[in-house]
Amino acid sequence: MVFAAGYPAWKKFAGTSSASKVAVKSGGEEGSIDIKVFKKILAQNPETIQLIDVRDIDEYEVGHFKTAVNIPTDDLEANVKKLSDEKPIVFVCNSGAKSGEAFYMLQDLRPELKKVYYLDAESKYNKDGSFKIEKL
Amino acid sequence: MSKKIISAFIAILFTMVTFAVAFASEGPDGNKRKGKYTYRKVYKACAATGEVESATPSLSPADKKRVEWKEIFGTKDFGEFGCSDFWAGLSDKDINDIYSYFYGYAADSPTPATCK
Repeated sequence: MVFAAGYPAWKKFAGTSSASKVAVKSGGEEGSIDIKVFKKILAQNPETIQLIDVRDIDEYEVGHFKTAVNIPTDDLEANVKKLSDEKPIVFVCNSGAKSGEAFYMLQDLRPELKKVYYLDAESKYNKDGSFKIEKL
Repeated sequence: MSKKIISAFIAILFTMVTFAVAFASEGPDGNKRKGKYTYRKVYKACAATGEVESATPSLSPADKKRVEWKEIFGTKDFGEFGCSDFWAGLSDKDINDIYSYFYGYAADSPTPATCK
């Protein structure tokens, strides 16, 4: 069977093959995500993870990762039962402090969720969705 | 010749003392990320009993310097924190994690805490 419209159209039709998707990889600290891999995922297949920004709403509105949803740390416990790890969950904030706290909250309250990570790095966000991530 | 030997000896002695002081002042080796969560969990539980008005912890790591936190956690004198029953129920590992959080974000640390 030949797809007459050519490869780019086929790719759009059939979706990106799983072989080309970047998989989540753990970083050095318990629960952390590998920073280089995280950047690749954001660039290539951000839809394969659930990105949760746990900063306060006013910080989030100044700038955030494009695909991140905002659940501030203070609201996370009330929403923790709604979360699933069908896709890996990755918590982010400015420095890894709040996102690390979120990771340990899930370990404590939802230990059955295994695919949970946090970004242990300094992140700076721009209004247009661009960002800078640096290892602390 | 003897002056050179003495100078070299003093230089070596100075290096050893500096290294020893630096090593002695190293902070705790707990998990500061987990320590932050455990610390806030203590206050949530304490607030639920009505012992404190707010679940927001009373003290932030940036409220004191590292040497002060070292004294408090070294003597396990947690009176200033309140919620004494909850602190008494913490394991040594939990306390070390909390101490690591406080030490890591103390007032004179490279990254003082900006919130409680």
